[in-house]
Amino acid sequence: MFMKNNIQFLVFTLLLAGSTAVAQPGYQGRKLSVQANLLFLPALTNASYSREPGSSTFNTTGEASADYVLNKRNSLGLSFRRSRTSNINSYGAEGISAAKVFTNSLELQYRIYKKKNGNIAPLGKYFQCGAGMLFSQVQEAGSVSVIPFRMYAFRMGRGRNRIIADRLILYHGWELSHVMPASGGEGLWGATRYYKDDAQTMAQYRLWRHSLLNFKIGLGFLAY
Amino acid sequence: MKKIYQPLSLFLISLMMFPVFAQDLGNYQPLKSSGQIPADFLQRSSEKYEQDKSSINRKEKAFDKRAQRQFYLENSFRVRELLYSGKILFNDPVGVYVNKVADQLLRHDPEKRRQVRIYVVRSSAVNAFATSSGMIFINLGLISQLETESQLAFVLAHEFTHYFNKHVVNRYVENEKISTGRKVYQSLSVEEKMLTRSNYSKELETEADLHGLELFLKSDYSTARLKGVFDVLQYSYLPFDDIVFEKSFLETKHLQFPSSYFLEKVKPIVPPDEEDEKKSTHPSIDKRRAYVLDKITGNVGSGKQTYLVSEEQFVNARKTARYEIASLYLANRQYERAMYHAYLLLKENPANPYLEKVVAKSLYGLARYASNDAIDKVHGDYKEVEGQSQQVYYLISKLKPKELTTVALKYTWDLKKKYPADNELVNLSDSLLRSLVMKHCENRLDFSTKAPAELRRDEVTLASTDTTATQRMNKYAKIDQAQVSEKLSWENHFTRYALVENFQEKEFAAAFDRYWQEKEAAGSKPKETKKQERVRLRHQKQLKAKEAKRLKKKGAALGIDKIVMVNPWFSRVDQRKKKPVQYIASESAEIALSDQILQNARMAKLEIELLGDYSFRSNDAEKFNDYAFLKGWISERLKHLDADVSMSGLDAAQTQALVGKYGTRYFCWSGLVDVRERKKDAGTVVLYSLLVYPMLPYAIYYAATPKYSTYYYSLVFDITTGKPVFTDFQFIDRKGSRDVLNSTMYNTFYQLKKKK
Repeated sequence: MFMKNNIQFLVFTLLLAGSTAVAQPGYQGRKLSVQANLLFLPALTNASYSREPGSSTFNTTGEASADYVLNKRNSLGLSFRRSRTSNINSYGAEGISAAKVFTNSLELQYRIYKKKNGNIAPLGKYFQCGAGMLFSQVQEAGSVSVIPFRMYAFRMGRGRNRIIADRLILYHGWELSHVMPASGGEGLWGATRYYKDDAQTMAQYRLWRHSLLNFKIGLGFLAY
Repeated sequence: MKKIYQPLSLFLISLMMFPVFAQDLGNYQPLKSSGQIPADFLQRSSEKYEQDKSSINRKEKAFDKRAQRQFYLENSFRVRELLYSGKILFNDPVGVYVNKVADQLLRHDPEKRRQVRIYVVRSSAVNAFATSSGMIFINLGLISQLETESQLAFVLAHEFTHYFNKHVVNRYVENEKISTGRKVYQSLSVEEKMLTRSNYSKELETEADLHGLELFLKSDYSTARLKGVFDVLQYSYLPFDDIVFEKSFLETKHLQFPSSYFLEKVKPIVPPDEEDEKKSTHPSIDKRRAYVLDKITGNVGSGKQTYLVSEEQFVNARKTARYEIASLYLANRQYERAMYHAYLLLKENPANPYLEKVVAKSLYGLARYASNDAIDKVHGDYKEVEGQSQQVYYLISKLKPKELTTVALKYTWDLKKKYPADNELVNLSDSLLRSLVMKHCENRLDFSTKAPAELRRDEVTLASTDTTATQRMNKYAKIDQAQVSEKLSWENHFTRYALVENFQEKEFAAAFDRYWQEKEAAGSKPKETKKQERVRLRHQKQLKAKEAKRLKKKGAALGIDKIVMVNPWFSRVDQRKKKPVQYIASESAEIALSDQILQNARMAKLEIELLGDYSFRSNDAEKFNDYAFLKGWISERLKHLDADVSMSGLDAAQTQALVGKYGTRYFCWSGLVDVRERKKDAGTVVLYSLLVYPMLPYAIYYAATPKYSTYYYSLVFDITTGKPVFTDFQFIDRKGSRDVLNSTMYNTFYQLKKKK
């Protein structure tokens, strides 16, 4: 129910923004683009504990997004992300069996294109900020039961779009994120861990570290 | 049937030929190209380059071959640039005649005749030149000064020799050798290199003179008047004649110039100083005259003639050139020269409307520049001018802005009365009257509406000369009176009665009063209190902010449905290379640009018509003429804009015709330059990356790629007013890639199309 309401709200916001943006140019008049992105973090020190301690790792998150140009300098987007961790170990914590974390997220992104000649949305360099909700669940190895939990995500980053053949968007950039539990949350910051389940706490901690810094590359299509 | 067709076709041909030199000079129309656009114009530069390159002799030395390749590359592109400069004419009446002269000159060698193509250049400079591909260009300025057809034939023979003897390419190769210090030029200083270049050039010119003379002597042209051609060259800086500029030319019954506004004696014409001959590319005129005369003395040639085509056609061609040049002077803002030139022609053809309008336009141009405190941008220094034309320069230097505007108004208004249907004159006179009232009139009574009993010229004072009363005055009253007298002296006051006759006309008096009331209304606003001032300023600020917000949101939003884009161009420059201009890449980019423009205009729903050099087909002569006119028109506008002077269109008839033809009054001029440079900090970045070694790949990429920058400009003029309605100059510190250009161009078109 919560998710349905959120989607309705976001779609409404997007349409509202579009209706006030009739005068905006877009790239050759095309305002809506859809993108498929890959977020990755080459963690040299195994920051996300997805492998054996001491080994390096490569965390990835898939993203599908739609972006709507509001005017020459701004665009509003909606993105859906999905990630799944490996079932390797206990995320560095003792006494917990290996577990997987599945995460879907829905986010609203706002991009401000750099005020510079040659930069007209959706082309060029931009600053991006966004917020959304992570719908995660952790499943311990060998267990059929899952522990669902939600987290808030706040993100900011920079990127650059290039357009080839008038339709395809090539994207690269980076992103800093902070995710926090939708309820409680002090557990992420230090010794106080009073969650109902250590596996959940550890999963939240892992997601926080996983999201902290990500590089992004993507391919998009200028729809209309 | 054949018997009927033959005379009929001859009759039709004669009808077609008749207008060639039967132009109604009273209603003179600018020279235009006609017929099929020649292949020289339609061939792409890259194709021409490949063609020329294949003609290089493989047995030549590597350096020579390389230099020749570079020459052909540069030459093919520069010649095309010249062909599309808007100055070159084809199949025009003067060009047709010049080609006939060439036919006569090379009658004994048809093969050579086939190799050369002659085009006339709309330029007032006294010059002619040849290219390596057989195109000979001859300026109208030269034709306007020549005395006979045989002189024209000699000039052509000289240029033909440059082509037949491959002088152009040889000069380039030799200059490259001198510049790079190869072999015999190895140890030359900069000064010596310059002299060597000059000497080599002189050798070629001498050869062109002598071989050209041989070619000339083979023809049926007589050498009788050949000597004069060197006089033409020697005094080419002077107008085509030297006739006293009469003071009365611009004077009327009530507009009389003070005698101090005219020189008692003009600067005499002296042969140009040839001290700098050492550095010149040509031998001195005296030397050239001497060796040519030496060859032809006693060799007039029996049965040979000064005119082989016809004297009448020569005279007509020269006259056409002279008429055309009057317009060229105006376009180049050489108003004084245009006025004297028209004055000379008026001596031959009094009351010619075209020439009278040239005078009016010259005065208008000078008055507008003077009113905007920019007269120095168009006014020539009279001290530098020799001969009778010096009077014109001197007069203009003496006239103050108000006086100049009055003189211009008087002349233009009277001319408007003479030709009431002429809209150009209506616009010019109205603009001058407005300027006179709004800018120069301090008092409604500055101009008398009633004629004086007697017009007193050159008198010290118009004030009271009651000597008894003066004697009774004290010292200070006398000083005051002297100052008043000075103010009222004729020199400062000669325009007071200039418009007396005009004030008798209802139209003039009404227009004057209307502008005066407008001026009074603007100046008679009641003094506002501090509070009112604050409110006004706040309101102004709000309006400004509102406008800024609108601009940010909608851009210029001009609501234009159609534009004509004139000569959009694209140049790629790579500063890292010895020869920075990338000609071949520029050509490809320019061709692609046309498609991009059309695509973006379509997306922005803006109707666009392209008048670019790659869009012409062989039967587009009419479009080519429009293109040539617009190139010149835009160039002239830019000069006015640069001087910050607002000018009414001096070509209202032509611009109105274009508006009707293309269905829009908006004409756009746009271009792009894509520059690549070496990054100055590349080494430093690589060095630092060694300290942070994971960054090394990025540093290497950074160092290996050039610094890109793109310059984009777009100007949209309303040709009915001559003012730009949209300007966009952008420096983009990125590569001029397709997406950047699309985005930028679309944004321009979007702003033009969008309604407020």
